[in-house]
Amino acid sequence: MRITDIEIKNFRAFHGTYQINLDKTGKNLLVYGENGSGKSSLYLALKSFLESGISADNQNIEFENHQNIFIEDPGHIKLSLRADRWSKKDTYKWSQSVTEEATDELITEASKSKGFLDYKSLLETHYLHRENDSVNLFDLLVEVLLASTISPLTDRSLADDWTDIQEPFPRRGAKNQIVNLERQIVNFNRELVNRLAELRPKVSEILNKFGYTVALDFDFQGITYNQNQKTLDNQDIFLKVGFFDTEIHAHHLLLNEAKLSAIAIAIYLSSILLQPESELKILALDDIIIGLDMSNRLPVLDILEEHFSDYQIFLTTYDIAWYEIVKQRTEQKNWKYVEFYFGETDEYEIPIYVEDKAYLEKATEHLNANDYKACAIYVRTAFEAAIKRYCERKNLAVKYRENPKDLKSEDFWVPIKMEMDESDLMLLDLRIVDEVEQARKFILNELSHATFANIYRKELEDAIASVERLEAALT
Amino acid sequence: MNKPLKGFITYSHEDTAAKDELRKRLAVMEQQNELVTWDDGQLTPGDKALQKDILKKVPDSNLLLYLVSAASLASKNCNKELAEALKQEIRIIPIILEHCDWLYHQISGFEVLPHKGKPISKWEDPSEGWQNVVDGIREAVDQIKSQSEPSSGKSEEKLLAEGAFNRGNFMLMLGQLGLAIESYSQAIDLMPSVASSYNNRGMVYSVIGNNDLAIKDYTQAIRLKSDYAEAYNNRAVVYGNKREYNRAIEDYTKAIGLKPDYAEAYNNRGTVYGVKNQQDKAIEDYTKAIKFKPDYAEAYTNRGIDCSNKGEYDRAIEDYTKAIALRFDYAEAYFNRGNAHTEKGDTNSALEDYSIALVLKPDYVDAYYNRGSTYLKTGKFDKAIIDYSKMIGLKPELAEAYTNRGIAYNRKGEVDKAIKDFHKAIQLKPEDHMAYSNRGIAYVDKGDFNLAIKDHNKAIELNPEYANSYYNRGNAYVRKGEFDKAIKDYTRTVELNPRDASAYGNRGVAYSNIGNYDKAIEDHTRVIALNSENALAYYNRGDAYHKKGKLNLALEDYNIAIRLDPHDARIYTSRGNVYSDKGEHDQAIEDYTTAIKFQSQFAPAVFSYYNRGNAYRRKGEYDQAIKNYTTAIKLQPKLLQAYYNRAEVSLRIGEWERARADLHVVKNSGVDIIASFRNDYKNVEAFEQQHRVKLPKDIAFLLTQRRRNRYPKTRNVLDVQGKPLESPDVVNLRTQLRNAGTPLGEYLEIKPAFGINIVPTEAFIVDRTTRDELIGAHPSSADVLKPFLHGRDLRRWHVDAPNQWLIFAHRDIAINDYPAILKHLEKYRESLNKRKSKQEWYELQASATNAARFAQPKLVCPNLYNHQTFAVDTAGYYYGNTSYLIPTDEIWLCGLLNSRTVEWFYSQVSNQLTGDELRARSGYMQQIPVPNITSEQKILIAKIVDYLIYLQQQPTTNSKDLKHARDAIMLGYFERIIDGLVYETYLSEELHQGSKQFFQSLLDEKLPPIEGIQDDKMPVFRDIFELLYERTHPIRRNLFFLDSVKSVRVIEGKQ
Repeated sequence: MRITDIEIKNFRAFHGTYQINLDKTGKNLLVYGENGSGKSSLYLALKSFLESGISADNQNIEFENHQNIFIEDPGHIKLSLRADRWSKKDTYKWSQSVTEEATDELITEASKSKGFLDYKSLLETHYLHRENDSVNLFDLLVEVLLASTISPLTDRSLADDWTDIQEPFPRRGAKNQIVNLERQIVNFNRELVNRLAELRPKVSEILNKFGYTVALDFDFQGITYNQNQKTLDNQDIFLKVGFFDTEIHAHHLLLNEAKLSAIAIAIYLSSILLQPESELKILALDDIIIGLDMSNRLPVLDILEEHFSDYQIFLTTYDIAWYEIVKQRTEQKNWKYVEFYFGETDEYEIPIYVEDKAYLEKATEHLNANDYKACAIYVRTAFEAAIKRYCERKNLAVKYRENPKDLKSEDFWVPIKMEMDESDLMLLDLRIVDEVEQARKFILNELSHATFANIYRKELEDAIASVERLEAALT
Repeated sequence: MNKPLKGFITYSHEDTAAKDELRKRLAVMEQQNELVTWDDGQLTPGDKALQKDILKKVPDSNLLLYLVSAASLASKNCNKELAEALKQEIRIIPIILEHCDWLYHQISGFEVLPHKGKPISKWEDPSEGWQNVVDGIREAVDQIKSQSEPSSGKSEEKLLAEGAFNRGNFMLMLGQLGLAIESYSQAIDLMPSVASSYNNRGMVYSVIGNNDLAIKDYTQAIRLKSDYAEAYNNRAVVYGNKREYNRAIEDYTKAIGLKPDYAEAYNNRGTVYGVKNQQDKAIEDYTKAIKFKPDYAEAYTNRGIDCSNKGEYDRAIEDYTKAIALRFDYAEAYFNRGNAHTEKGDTNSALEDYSIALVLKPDYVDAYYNRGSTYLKTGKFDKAIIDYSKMIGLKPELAEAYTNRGIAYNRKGEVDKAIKDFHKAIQLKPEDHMAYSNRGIAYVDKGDFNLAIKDHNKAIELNPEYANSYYNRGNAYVRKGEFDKAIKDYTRTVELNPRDASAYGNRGVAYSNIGNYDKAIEDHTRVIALNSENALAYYNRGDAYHKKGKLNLALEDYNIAIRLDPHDARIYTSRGNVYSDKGEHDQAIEDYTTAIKFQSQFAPAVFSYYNRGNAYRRKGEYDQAIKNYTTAIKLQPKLLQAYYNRAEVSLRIGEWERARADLHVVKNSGVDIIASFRNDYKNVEAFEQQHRVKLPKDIAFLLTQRRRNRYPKTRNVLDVQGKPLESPDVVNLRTQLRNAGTPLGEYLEIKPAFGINIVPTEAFIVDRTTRDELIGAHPSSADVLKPFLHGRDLRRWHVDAPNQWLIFAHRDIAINDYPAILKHLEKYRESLNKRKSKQEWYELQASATNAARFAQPKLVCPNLYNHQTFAVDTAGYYYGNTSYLIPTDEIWLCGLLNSRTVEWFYSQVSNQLTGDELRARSGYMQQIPVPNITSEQKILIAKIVDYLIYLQQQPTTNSKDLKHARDAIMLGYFERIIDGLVYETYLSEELHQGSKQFFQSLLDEKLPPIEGIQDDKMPVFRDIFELLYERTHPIRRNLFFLDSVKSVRVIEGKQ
């Protein structure tokens, strides 16, 4: 069972209706997007959609809380699913008015076995508590990586079981309550030990893919209740690293942030692989590679290929270089590639997404529909995408800005314009430079974002032609 | 020499006098040699055979004078003469003698005398009428002469043309419009210069709706005859139909200019002015029309309509009444008078008029509509619905009829029918904002606020100026609790309609809800400014003042409200609350008492009792307070606040029993009584100090100690009246479970029961040392020493071997056979003697029958427990009344009873009287449904129960040492498998729908029975566990995804 179409309307950053088609086979999706371009909204859309069925009193999965704040028109998310390319398409909808009863078992089950990991969760690795040259993974494991793993006995998530044994603690001397709490703690400890034991071989296997030929183990002695202090003690899970047969201390240096990121990813992916699979298997990874060195990124693709081949994978990234690499490394028949850009009109910001660089086509489409504003945004995006790509490919020196989002098209365009060949001649045809300069005055310049009041057809046509020529010249 | 024309008089002999009168009056013309007349009176009387001869006289004449009366119209002879004249195309002049049905006779196609057909008998002075006739005849004679003279006699064309023209008139009269056009066209072909042919053909075209051809013909008629007033009038009518009002007025004015007493033209011009909203001019014209034609009923009606439009309803009614006097069957006049009555607010007269109009004209759609609307307005919804339905029958494409019927249904409370009607109306007229608006209102009544808002949005989109849409959307938002949005909408409403008191009022209430009391007060003040008699506005403002803490102002408002509406319990309640807050308890009590007297659905007495209880409580009259709370509880057994307050008062006066019971009721309904208590008192000590009492330990504990839940129990959500809202899912599931099997009580052959009553325990229960001593002292002691367990010693599945023994001294033994026992009991003789029950001092209240019962295989559980705790006892142990025993050898029942499904069901039915703990009660236990399953399934469950009995005895499965965590998980996993199997027995359909099978998957594994496992069983169990726990095993998968089944979610507290 795979997702073949996604339709998102007025959800978070999505203003209006967006459709992403993943073909009848339900391809994986690779998304490149600038920050704020809506790629995280897409991640969240999928996540919330799947969770919409499980718990009625979870605030996060009320559609209302995700409604695009600029629009009153109620939004929705629709997913279409097919068992395979020949079977019938079923469409599921989530919106304010669709109630829980409407949610299918399929979605509920998919929610339970789904994998959704984002870079924010991995940031936790930066705040890990280090003791005696080792790191305490307790919080990271219980509250993040294993939080949604399900107990085979209570059928509740580890996070829920954990919440249950926290405060308020029983009054001193309230014997029955204390007995109850201790029974709960014993169960919690057993469950956690059990999970960690199950994880160990899988995590090591995956870590080996990252090039760490080590065996990992977790040192967890069980939390205890301190009746006098009213505290839960021993919230410790220390990482033990076995190197061949010798156990070494998980040395501070050994465990730098990049390695911890890799370990965290390995643990998370392993935890999914230990639970039963639903029919609809979704794995979404939102920018999780940003904490990894380039050398550790490629193994992620291998791991996905080896262990998650029957999952439908959604990868997002804001790193254009990584995006290009993934594109090269994956097969087109299994993947769809989409780019999100940040569009701005005089009224609101909107994400612009395009399947594989077809911005000019989109621009022409909008021009023909007499939607000049949209046309202008797409031409501009085409222009910016073309020059950014060129700079990255040619490694041209681009002005440094602290936040990549602050980079102006000027920052890319100037170096391209000034690029010389061996004999100090300008590489780019001067006529194209002139045309582009002309078009930049009105349409290709960000400064004109807010002043779209008067756009003329002729100018747009010229701009499209110019960018077309520029693209040709830059390839 | 002029030859006189010959006139033939056709008459009925009953009218001989009239005939003679006519002849007498024509004498002058005869003397002047203009006209000689002939009638059959000139024949010899009695000569009857001459009828043929009479007829022969007709063709010989130039004129036929037809004396019209009821008698002549009925006479065969008269009609024969007329037919003969028509054949010969002789000029025919009907002379109307009296009112009769001539309009429907063919002679109406001719120009009649006297003028406009006013019968001779109706002239005040008949000679005046006759003179009018004579003038007319003279005119006709002159005409005939002038036409025939120059050409000395009529041309054939002319005669044919006249004939065709007359035939046209006749056909028109008969309604044969096609033939009429044909005849007129013939006449025009023959004599193209005759204006009247064009005029009349134009009339026919106009009737069939061909306006352009009609105008063409009238224009031609005018061209031929420039003073042709009628043609102008007629053309104007067509222009009017074409909505070319200025042209129409121009033509009417021309017609009037040509013919200053042209009443019809005045009337018609009036209607055009009316359409153009120039009522004064219209009225002026109608008045002229009436002046020239005093019996002009239509003109009266028309003037009435325009007076009505001007708001002068009395004048209008006067006009309609005149019109009705002139034409008693004038349905439209009744209808319009009904409208005027409606406008005046006189619904009874209006209804009467509409009803008459409908009797006169049973297909009068507008009258149904207006009568329906009047019924609707006066709350007679059924009658309104009948009228609208009639209308729909007559005109099914009329959206308004559906809309209004929908409104009527909605007011009647039949919301679904209403919505259906609005839906139909929208289908018929998608741009009708009213239908959307009304459907929106209906959805609000139904509780579908989102749909309601959607409809109002659409209504607003279609008509952004319609204030009611905003108002109603505002109401929907209020019901949804979105007060900010509601306020915006009410604001828009009053912008569009600044005098809309309800919008101000509702906005005020909305402001109150978001805590903006100043704005609320402002709004209610506006309502009061609009209508100083509005009790509700004072009530609402009082409420806002109260909430703001302005108690005196609130009181003032409530006082006024009560003066305006002395029977509204709500106001008394609210004023009572203010008095109560002011500490004036007597006044408050008085108001609550009045509120009880005037109780209504908006202010049920139960709350007044409750409030009065509170007032007494504050006043310190605790007995009265308790009495009032008790009444409130009797009226509304789920009013938790009343229980709590009654408990609180009971605590103040030391009535522990009632307090305890009440507190439990409240707590078990999910209310946090600790928080409630803390709200009022810092702690128990504070309470004790304030009320000078000492709370019993258990109650103090109840009010301070939070119990912990192991996993969430279903919590009751309380509605505003303190009634627990049970989700239909829960109710349905309970029923579904009950229906899935036989109650345990019926299923069992022997009734379950508690163990025996052992008092005092220290006398009868002994430990191992004492037991050994007793046996050592006398071997017979062993016969009566039975292994014994307390309820608190029990665990799930397996009963551990006891460490205590019961001295089973019952009435069927001879105590002297057991000297050591007797000696032992002697030590307790004093307390044994204190027992109230009847038995020997050394005896238990038991007999040999009890021994037989204990000896049976049975399931046992403690009387108090957190989770279902049944164990299988085949060892014949003895139990006291802290254990509940189910005598059966069906081990699988132990699995069933320990399942989550049964735990949920039991906690649902047994009320959880002791807080979080469950208590075994025979009545409830026996209700547990035992599902109807196959013996193969029972065997399978029993097999797993056997496993669990074994596993429960192993040290590793219960060890806290985390080394053995996996074994503990194994035990839990097998229990979970039992849960899965039991779910499948109760909810097979639901589970199988999601292809979740437990029985089959487990049967496929052919698990060994426990007896089949030799020697060291644990490794075998671990293997079985790992197999079933494998990620891809259907058992693991199905357990993992169990909560995608809705009923399972309910049971496991996930919904």
